[in-house]
Amino acid sequence: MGKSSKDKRDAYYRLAKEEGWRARSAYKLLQLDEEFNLFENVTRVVDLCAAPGSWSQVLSRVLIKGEKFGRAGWNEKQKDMRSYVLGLEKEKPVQMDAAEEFEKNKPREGVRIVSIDLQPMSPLEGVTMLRADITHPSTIPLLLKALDPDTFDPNATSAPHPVDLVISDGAPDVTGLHDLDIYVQSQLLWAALNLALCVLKPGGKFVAKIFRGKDVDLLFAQLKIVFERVKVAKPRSSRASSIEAFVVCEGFCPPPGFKATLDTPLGAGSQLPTPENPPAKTEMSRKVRGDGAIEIDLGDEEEGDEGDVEEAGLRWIAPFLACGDLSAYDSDATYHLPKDRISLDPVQPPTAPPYKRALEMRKLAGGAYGKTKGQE
Amino acid sequence: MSELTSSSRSILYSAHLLWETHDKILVAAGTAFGEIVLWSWIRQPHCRSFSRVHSVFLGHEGSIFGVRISSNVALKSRKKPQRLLSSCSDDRTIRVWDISSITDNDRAAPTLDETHDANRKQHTGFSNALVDTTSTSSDCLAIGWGHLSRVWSVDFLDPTYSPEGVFLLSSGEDATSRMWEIIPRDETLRTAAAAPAFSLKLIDTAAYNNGKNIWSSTISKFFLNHQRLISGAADGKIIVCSPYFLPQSNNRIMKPSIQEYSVQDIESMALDFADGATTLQTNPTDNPAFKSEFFRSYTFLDSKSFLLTTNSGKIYLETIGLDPQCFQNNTITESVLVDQMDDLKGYSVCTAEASIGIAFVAGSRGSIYVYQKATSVLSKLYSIRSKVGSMFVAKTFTETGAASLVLLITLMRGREARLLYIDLDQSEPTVSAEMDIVLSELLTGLAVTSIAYVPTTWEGGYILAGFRRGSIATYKILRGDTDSKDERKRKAYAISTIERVHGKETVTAIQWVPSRFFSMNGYIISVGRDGYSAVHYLDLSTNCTTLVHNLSLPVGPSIEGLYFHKNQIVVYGFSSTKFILYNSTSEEEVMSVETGGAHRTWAFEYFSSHEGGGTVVWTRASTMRILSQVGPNHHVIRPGGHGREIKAMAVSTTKVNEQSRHLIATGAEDTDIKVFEYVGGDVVYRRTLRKHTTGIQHLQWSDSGQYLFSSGGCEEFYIWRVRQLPSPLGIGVVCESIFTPESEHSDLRIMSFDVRKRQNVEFGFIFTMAFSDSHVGIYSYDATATVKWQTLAIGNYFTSCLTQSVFLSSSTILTAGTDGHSAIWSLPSDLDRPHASAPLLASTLTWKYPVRIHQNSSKTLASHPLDQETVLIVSGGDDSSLALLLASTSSSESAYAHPPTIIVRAHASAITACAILLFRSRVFILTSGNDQWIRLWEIIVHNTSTLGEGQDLLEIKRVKRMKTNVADVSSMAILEQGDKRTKVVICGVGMEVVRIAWD
Ligand SMILES: C[S@@+](CC[C@H](N)C(=O)[O-])C[C@H]1O[C@@H](n2cnc3c(N)ncnc32)[C@H](O)[C@@H]1O
Repeated sequence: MGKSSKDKRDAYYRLAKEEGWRARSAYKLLQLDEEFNLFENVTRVVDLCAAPGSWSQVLSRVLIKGEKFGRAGWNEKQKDMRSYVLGLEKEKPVQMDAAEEFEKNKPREGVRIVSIDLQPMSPLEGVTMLRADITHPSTIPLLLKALDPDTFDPNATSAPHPVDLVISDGAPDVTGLHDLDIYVQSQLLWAALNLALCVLKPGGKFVAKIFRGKDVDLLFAQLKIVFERVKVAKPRSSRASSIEAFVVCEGFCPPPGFKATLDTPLGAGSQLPTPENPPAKTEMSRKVRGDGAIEIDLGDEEEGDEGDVEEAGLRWIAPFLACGDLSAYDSDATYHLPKDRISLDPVQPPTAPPYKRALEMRKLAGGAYGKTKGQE
Repeated sequence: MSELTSSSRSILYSAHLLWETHDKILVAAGTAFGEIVLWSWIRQPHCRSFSRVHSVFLGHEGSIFGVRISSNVALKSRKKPQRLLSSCSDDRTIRVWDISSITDNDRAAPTLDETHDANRKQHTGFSNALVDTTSTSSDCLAIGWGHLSRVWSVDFLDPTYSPEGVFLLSSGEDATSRMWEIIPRDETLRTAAAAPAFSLKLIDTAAYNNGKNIWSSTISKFFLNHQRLISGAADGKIIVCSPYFLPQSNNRIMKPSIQEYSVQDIESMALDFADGATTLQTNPTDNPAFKSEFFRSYTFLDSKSFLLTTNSGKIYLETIGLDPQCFQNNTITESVLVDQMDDLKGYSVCTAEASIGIAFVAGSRGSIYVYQKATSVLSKLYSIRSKVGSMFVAKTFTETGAASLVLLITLMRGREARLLYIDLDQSEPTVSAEMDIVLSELLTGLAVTSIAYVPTTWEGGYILAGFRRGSIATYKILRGDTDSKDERKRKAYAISTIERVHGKETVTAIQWVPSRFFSMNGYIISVGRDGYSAVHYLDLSTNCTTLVHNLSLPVGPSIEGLYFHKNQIVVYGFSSTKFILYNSTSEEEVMSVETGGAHRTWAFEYFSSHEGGGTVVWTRASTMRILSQVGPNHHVIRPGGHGREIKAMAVSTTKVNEQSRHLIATGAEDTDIKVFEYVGGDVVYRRTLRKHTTGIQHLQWSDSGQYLFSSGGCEEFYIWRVRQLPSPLGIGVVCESIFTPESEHSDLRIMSFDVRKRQNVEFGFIFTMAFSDSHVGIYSYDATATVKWQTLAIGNYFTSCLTQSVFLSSSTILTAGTDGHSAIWSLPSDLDRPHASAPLLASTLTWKYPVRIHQNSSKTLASHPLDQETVLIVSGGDDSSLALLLASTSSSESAYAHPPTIIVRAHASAITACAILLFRSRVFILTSGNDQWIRLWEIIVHNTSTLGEGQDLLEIKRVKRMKTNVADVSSMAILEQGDKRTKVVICGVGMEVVRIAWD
């Protein structure tokens, strides 16, 4: 697809190019932050599955450069840019320099950002980048070393200086086989959680991509064991047609005596030890909203009598939150753009696909590629 | 049972275990980042068992999706049997690795895991040529390129069944299964020293599944020594076929290559045959005038013999050696020179009625010869005073039940065509009557390209003629008239013409299906070079024709013929470089022959036997080529559906002769719409409607079931007329009208729409459509008006995408969108006004009463009137909540009868499908979503007067839940509503019918 047709379909893709983000995903993190104030008092962060690095860009700009993207600052100042991107305004707003654009804030002290991905990433100021598989056991010591390069102890399984926030935007290359995709996604979530359990400080936050598909309620129930508050949030920049969402877990509270280990990594089918006093069940409740609408929560369900043996697991439905301002762009809408719009190049060219060589071979072979010699 | 663990614990996409000896298991595993780890587990007597890693193979440039360890195989040029490992990947390659040395020598083999895996030095990310220096490993024995996308699986074929080589089977995302042979690499081509020593040669490709992704394939050996390939894909279809190279009955059979015969070959075969018998006196072919001897035409006399004519005027009879044991045949076993005619020199055409073995040959001077297979006699039949353009034959019967023929002869640029009645009950065929058919340059053009004969009495009937310009004309023929002295009476003029049956393209074949024998009405089935198959209903007594079916075929576009086989319609023609025989009823390919494209000189004859198949003969590069195939190239074990996920579905239930008839229409991401019928507890495939170019967004039936409406992206909105036709025609579908896009670039998606029948018009509808740029439109369609479409009103919401729009009454609609709000719009009062030729300006709609029903998108919405004044609206959101609205329609202005009631945490995921169900005067709601639960809720609408303090008008209860196997549920609908149980159809990735039992 040409970049201008993608431009038309996707307001966030256009905006990312205008604002210099490596990927449109940046807005997902910004919108999550808008709702949850994720970076408050945060200095040490781990960004998992980070390539091409737009989340790391956000971290670097917020923590190192001290820029502010909060609710207050951002929306107002971005209004002009928005109407330009939405095609309402023909003139591109004059680019203000960074000092004017964002409320200057003092860079934070003792910032440490470590980003990990299978793919290599272009460097970013102040960010330590690792190329590794987050599901691989060797990644834990790698991460611990990157967090505390000076005091690293190869035998440690937890960080001497734990981190405040672990974020993971990990997604497999979807195969189209639903059960497999959901399984791999949940494996990535477990791997991210396993790393988080090693490095997160009590009270810390964990944000991870999750597929709201089959058995997602089993995952919610497990997360609820190690965090005080678990919500599932969907930024408006995430398409309505996609099953992707983010779990935002706050108040890390490892069960007493629990230690994450390398030898028994968590994975799909894992169960965290159930704490002595299990989280209270949500009771049925009724609330009349300001606009008069009646909101009913029928409460947690009794475990079903479906009698499925494989079902030996707790299910829990996390409360849902849509984040990002309603007046923000709608990733599903079609916008009318002026005809003479110039399409910008992406900030980062996409990484070469694994089948690059196959494409080259195909070009070489011409029409004969992939064909058995005909019956003639 | 005890757990064996690997020391490498990263995520794996693939693994294979081989129990090598009683105490040893070999394990191969592929990682997400392109490594293949080979390790083993060994149990030692009196000792703890242990495992160790032998080798890590690098080279693949993407995740490993499949690995397989071979049994010991014999590679050419290697002395000892080898143990091999095969792998396939995201990088679209198949690779083979030599692991013999590792498994040969256990003790000496190096162990890689002396240090703990957690301390590995090599990074665990993707290798990248820009960053890494070394990435290939020399253990790679061979690389296979050929798949067009990701390769999901690879396997070795059992060497005991394929003794003459080492073969692999792979299948992948490109919906193909491919067969490979490991062959030594051509040393001269080895450039780099590190290049693999062998190569993987692609030897056969099977592509009989639709859409994408063969998830599973295997070679079965259970068919009496005949190995078969079985594959299943995302379309849900399971097929079986016999790749040619697999040994059948322990003999490896070579793939039959198409045989080529030059004119000289045919000539010398005929001479050999004539040897001993009296040789016909023929002019030598070295006659200077016919230096360029070549094949002129072919026509089949029956399923195993055909006549051919050459440029020098020779007629040969060729017999094909058909071995019923053999899947494909290609040899001519007998060639006989029938005759040589002066007036066939330089030009000849021929045609035949293969069912009775009679052929006609004509030349440039107008002589028509007839050849009878039964008597082997060629005789002159008739003479016409001009060069014959083409001939068409049709079979009919005489009063005595004997077969007779009609032959239509067109002349080069002739304005009249000669029609002959040919009696066959004499000792030789004779012309019993003749007349002229007058062609109209203006109406149809002069080039007749196909005919069908419609007998209506013993004395005569009608000729249906198809033309190059795309039309079909009807001519009335009376045998009595043909003897008339009156010149004018001996001429037949077109009594009616159906224009543009195949657009402006050639009508290549016509079949007549009468309602009864000698009936004056029936159906014309035709195919053409536009790639369509069309059916017209024709009433000869009134001369009325109605187009009742017109759909494009997935093969072609050069469709050249059609016939019936086992009550199914089979078509054939050319698709790019291939000749294709295709069952259009079951939508399965029967035969596919690489002919190098469409040709001028060719002929095809089908086998009427149970298995089907046929023979195709064609000229390419001046040689005659031939291929005969018995039976289809694959069999369907389980029929399938869409190649991708279903995005929309609608059910129509109508009563036909007191019987309920359920049609399910599904629209998918693959842009197809399919119609299924629910009969006897089975969902049976009926039709595929191919016209949309984008994924389907919404589908709806008219109440009568006569119309289906569909919408998609690019402002595609189609009106389909659907009819039940008699067997073998099945369901007739015609795209009756196309909505004309209104926006400048017509790039909007029509997310949803709703339909109301127009008052006082039989085939008229009013639509409300929701567009992705936040506007709604109200349109009127009248099939009988001169101006079919009128835009009644347009309204703008905001900038967010609208996802729903439904009629609440004749004067109001409700919309909902990605911003989580619903709104009500009142409509102008004169929606049902007749279409004017000068349309009135569309009125502007405005919205009122916005209500926040979700935090973000409404993904599914259903509405149902509860009584005269209230409509229940149910919306399922991406926010996993269920919203209930009670709209009152009592006044002309709609408003809500109750504040919205929202049930949060109704599902663990987005709610993507819902249906309202009234049962024993209670109201139930069914919902489903990506969490693959189906939930049943009951809604109790309390009486306002008896409402207690703090009690809501609407009460909702969970009734029950059950699981569905359908992922990404997009839609559901009530199929059958019984006293004891309700059947519900659920669509998404696949389709499922679930039963709710009421107690
Ligand atoms: C949606 S992208 C992340 C985008 C990123 N947050 C940004 O803002 O630029 C998902 C990433 O997950 C990575 N990934 C998938 N599986 C992984 C694994 N096992 N270990 C590490 N990274 C993985 C992929 O390489 C991909 O770059």
